[in-house]
Amino acid sequence: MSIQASPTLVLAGGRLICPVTDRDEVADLCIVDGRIVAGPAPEDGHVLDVSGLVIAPGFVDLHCDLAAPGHAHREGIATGTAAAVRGGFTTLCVTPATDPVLDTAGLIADLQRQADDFERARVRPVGAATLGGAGKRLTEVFALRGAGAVAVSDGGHPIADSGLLRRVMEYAKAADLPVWVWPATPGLDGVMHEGAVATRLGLSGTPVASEEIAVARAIALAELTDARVHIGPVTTAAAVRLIADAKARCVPVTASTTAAHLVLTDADVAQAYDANLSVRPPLRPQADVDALRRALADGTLDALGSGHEPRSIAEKATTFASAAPGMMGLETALGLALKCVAAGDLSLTRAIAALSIGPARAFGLPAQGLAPGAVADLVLFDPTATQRVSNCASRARNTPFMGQALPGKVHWTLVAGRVAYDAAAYDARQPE
Amino acid sequence: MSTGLTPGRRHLLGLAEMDAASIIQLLDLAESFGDIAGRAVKKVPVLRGRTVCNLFLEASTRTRASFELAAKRLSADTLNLSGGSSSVVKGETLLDTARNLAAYQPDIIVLRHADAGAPHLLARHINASIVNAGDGAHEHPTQGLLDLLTIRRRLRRIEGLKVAIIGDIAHSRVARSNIIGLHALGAHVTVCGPPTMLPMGVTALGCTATTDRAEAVADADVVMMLRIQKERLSEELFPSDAEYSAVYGLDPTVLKGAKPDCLVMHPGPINRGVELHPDVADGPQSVILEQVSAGIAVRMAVLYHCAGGAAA
Repeated sequence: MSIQASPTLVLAGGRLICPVTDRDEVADLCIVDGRIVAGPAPEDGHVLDVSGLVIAPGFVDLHCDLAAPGHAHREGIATGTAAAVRGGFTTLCVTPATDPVLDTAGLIADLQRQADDFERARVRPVGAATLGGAGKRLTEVFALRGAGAVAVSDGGHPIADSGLLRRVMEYAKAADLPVWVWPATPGLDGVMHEGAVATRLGLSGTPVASEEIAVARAIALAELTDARVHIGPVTTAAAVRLIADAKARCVPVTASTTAAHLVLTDADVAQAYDANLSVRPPLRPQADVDALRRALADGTLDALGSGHEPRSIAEKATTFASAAPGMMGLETALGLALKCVAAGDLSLTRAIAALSIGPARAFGLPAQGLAPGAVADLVLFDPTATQRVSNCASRARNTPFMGQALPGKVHWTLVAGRVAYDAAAYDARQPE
Repeated sequence: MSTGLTPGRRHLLGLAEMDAASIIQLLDLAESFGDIAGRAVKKVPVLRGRTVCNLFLEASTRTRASFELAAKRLSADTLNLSGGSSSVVKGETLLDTARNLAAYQPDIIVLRHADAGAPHLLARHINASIVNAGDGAHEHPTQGLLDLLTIRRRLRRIEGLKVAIIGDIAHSRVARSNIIGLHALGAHVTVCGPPTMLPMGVTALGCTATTDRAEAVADADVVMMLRIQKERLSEELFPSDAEYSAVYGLDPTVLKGAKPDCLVMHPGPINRGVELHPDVADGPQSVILEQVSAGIAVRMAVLYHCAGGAAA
């Protein structure tokens, strides 16, 4: 589009929703040199008519798996960042559980450099908390931070040794980085939620206690060390209760869940053992789903992630128990969030906040929303349209929503004022 | 009987997908095939020209032999492929294996697999009737049917019977198919084992649960003992054979708590002296060998039905 060449861009007639300034009004938004500016539009600017669209801060994903380096059969930086901007995400904090594990400054820097070349979403890696993700020795956290790491974690491989996790938190605190804790307890893990459905299906179960223990431990250690701790994705009412209590006591914890966990339940697995429903943490019963929606609405949960875990066809063309767990999510997160909005469980503003400002704050990223001076990382979407899940930009296809119509359609995604995604151009290139 | 996920195909994926009437029809069909075993020429031509493939990707001797014999007595051609899941060519998915097999155009694939839901995967993607010969800890529907047939032959009814199933319910597909089948036909099922072997929410399957052996056996018409798999020792499901036997095994004294003519059943193979005292296993109330012969009749009925024979 020609607007890419223009230093000044006016988004005219859109509905601005900014959770930072509590703004929700139809107004023009002016972008100069990649930043939002106040005041009337300059006359030389390129004007884009965006009436009917919501303009919101770009979405930030806290634990996205781009499968790079090391798992090119699943995804890559090119396809992963393309999927991100198609879903409205402008910043991806990617998991360190890659191959090799992101445990050195070089790997962290390299990943960002590669992502920058594609000029799509920003990639901000999470650095490994332990060398090789092996849960034995600390990484050079200051060096990782220097290279651009936004948090430390061993991703989906929880650190079993509580003493070591304490040291990780203490050390990360000195480096002023948050520690992201995956809420699962080794030894208490099956392939789906433990309960009547798993029993009927003959599948091994992950009890709620697996998550509850891990969350309680993370909170206790956050309290002990005063480190900033992010817990996610949480999926149970029990975890929500613990987090609400910790926040009430001003323990420095934040928490997130994924869009799929707001919509799907363990009972969905019973339909046909669909391997696309094999995810970690597992899908939970309706009561937990309801608790997650409430917690997201009242702010107990700060962030709503995509849970993006791309898996290859071969990894899913098998039985539920043998399939690699994971569900792609970048291109469906907004649609699933809008389902919760349509159900009356979440306000549109709150959904946007949980996708953008909430996660940004949790990892200490810029979170100025649509305020003047903010970098123009924006998503423009039509909340009333529906879009079929198809023609995905991701390399992966592992979603149970394939072919379904979900609410909301992203029309443009802007990164630093530059058009990183244009639905019309994308749809023209990829006709259904 | 499942009308099938592939249109036009009849599958047997689990008893959970059958209603009482279709279970009874299959049992009646099995009864009609039961006579064949007593004849000099143990063969009928009803599946002549049909191909039955036994795909056993988890170790099995008895079930595979039973299916093979059932197919042969129906005059079907049989193709046996077996091996642990690991012997499937590396990198080949279960679906690839099955698709290759489907290229031989079998009418029926009998699948034994270590993972729950494996037959459902095949039924969705493969153009053949799928018979579940045991999938992980999910179901073993032909075992459930043969147990029902054995009970019905001896006690002339299922409805109203009190049945105790004792052992590792959590990891047992035999238990699941039996609970579901017995419940569907109106029996009262009590499952029993240490809490490590009773899965969460098991009563939703249509049974009561207890950790007290005497309570489970009291006034039972049938006591079904499950095989203790010693590899579960490493998972700390029970501390020792000796303790298991003392607390959850079936010996003549414990059996006295049941009805005098109570049947003793076991899917085999037995761990003598662990879950079953030898005097009980070989005693007059044991119908274990009758279960084996009922198995052939039931599998003949299932193959016949899935190949398009008499509607069930």
